[in-house]
Amino acid sequence: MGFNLPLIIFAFILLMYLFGASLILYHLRKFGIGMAPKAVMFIYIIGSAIFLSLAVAAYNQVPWDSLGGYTSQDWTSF
Amino acid sequence: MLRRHWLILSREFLGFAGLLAIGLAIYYVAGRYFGAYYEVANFLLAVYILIIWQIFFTSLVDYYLDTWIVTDHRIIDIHQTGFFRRDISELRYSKIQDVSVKINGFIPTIANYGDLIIQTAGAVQEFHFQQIPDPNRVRDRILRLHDEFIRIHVNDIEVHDTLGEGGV
Repeated sequence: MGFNLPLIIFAFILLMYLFGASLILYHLRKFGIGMAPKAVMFIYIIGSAIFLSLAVAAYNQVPWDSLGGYTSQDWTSF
Repeated sequence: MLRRHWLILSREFLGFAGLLAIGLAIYYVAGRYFGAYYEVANFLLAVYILIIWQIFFTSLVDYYLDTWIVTDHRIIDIHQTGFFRRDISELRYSKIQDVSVKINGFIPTIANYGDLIIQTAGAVQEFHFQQIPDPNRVRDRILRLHDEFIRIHVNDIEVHDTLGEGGV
């Protein structure tokens, strides 16, 4: 089975992001007093959905295989 | 209910906007050298924006969860540090000893924000309202509420004027 390093790194970044996002949403939901924290929560959710989609789309557009091939060729030439 | 002045939040916002601008500037200036790695640069920019977004909202949590609540019976100080430290203190008006205001600097003077410090006789010796808007007005209000509290409380028991008129 292949070892997909970029995917593992990206999955780790996404997991960290989702962990941080759950902390932010939990704190704003549980401890926020008044409407302002709820409005911030709403903006955060919308923005996160947009930026996460952009990051995933950008990841999918990168030709990792050709990059990996180029890198390995580069290394073997030493 | 009081929070820090909105200028404090806008200062943080400007800081993160600056970081975002730096990232975008690097992306556009270095863009001509990307060549075959154009998609990689797009991906790195997307991840960078995601991280900036996350850190900015982490600081917003800190801003929105630092709150001071002034009621007619007590003052509540809620202080959030990071995600895992939250200090809540309550102060009854009978414990207030001194209220002072500190406005320090050009921008705080112009924008009318500063610190309000309450010396107490309780377990927490000092209540510190940080960078609140219009601290002088808040001090006046606290002193008025304090006087009212003292007037209607005898030995910490609430006494109403109407009791005397009834026949006692």
